[in-house]
Amino acid sequence: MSRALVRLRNRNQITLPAEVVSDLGIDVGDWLEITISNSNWVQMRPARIVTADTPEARQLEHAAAENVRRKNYSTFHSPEEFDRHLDKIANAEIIELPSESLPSERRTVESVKMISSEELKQRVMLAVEAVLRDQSPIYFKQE
Amino acid sequence: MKRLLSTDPKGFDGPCGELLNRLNPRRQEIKARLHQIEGNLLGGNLEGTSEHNRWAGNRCVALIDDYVVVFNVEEYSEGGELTRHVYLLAVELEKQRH
Repeated sequence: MSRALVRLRNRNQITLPAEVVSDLGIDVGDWLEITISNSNWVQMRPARIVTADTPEARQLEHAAAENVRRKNYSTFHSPEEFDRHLDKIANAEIIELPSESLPSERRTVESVKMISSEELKQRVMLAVEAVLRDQSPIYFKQE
Repeated sequence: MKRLLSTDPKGFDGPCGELLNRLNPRRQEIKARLHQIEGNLLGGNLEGTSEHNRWAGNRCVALIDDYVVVFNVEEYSEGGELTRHVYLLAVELEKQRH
């Protein structure tokens, strides 16, 4: 298992550590599916082309069929429109997935409260003190 | 008859974008094949497609090399007009045939 801290840079970019890339078996051009849980856990998993007739493929097709049922898809009315879509997905860096395809717990998004730097400092100090006193660290949940 | 084509963002758009990038020198070939598939399916020609997923009634058609496009076709009447709606659900890799 790999764990790492990464820093968000300009234009919302992050660099995945080489070890993580290696463990995931991904390469440049591969897609990653990002899911954020209600408790702000970010899950990132490879969204690679799956092999037909595997549980992964069946799950993907099941989700796609659900999207059809919920009318969650992109529709094209002409070959030209479809062609523009193919160019778009070939050059895309982000593909927005239908919200209904997210786990149910994500459907209700909590509002995120911004806290001041003073409040943040205070919270960090409390957490540090707790650790120094050999108590369990305090975890703050965004409100 | 009204003809509509739809794609699933996760199952089709993502993998298709990946394939177009991965096989970049063959991008035009893939696009041409996709347009051919689009034309055939919207025209109701399901020849050369095979049953892919028995429970869901999905079918698949060869795209390029061992890659296939999984799709479903629905025909319904909308406002008195017959509509053929083709859904491209996924791009998958077929198991190697020996």
